[in-house]
Amino acid sequence: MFKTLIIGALTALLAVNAHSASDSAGHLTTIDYSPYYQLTIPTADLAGAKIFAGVGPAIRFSDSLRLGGWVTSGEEDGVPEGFDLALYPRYVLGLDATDELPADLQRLFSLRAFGVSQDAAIAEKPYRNGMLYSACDYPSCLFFVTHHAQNEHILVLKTEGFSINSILSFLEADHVE
Amino acid sequence: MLSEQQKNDLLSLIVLFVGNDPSIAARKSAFNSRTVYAVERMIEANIDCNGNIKDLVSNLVSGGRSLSRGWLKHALGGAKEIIQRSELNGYGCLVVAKSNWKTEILYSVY
Repeated sequence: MFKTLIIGALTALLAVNAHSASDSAGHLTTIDYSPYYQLTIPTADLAGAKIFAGVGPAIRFSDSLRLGGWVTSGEEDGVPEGFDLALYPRYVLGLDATDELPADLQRLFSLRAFGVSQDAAIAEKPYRNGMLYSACDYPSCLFFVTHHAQNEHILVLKTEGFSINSILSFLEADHVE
Repeated sequence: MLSEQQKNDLLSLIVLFVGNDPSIAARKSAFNSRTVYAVERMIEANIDCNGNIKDLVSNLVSGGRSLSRGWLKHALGGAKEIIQRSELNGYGCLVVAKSNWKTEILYSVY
């Protein structure tokens, strides 16, 4: 399933600059990570950007602005099948205790596993379709996006130079003029 | 600027930890000090995984020095046999958050 999602994400990469959101004039461009997760960004921001295939679609906007993401079922990282992925970010960010979990999962569910500093600012914010979790040690941030309609996969974003509000706006596409 | 041998060692380490990823391997010529730092952090994040990783790191950091920032850069270039021996000894530890580290490594070259 994970490979299917990755292939889907890479297919989305190829279509990234051709898929306009509800904006017929092409002012907005959507990165379609899955039917549940899309980021809609101003097309003008892509001027001079380099789009490359990371684990999923990734964009280097400038020397100081990078955004990459991938959808995951957690399988590749060792999350057991059937695990409620909505809890994944909560455990990783320390919002829920992992004491009762097996040792191997405790190792997985830690900021250290992601190379995030223990001093990172942790936040959780609701957005229209679910929750946005973040661990930011600026300029770098790690985001987890969940969707209330399903818990089979989540979106993970790794960014440099983007604020939480920027990511929220990409998820909500609330910057439509 | 990394030497060719340092880049080769770095790629071998990456393969050992996250497997063979064509998109990373194809960018080997662009590996730089930021890539070294990303791999260094990835190894440190997984050092408690099992004895193989601890042995590898201890062999890379000769003389029992502690892991201060930049330790990996010093090890590259002469680490080929150590890395190969680790592969022969069994397996690379399952790296958690593998996608995260692949992305971090790719960011270093874009």
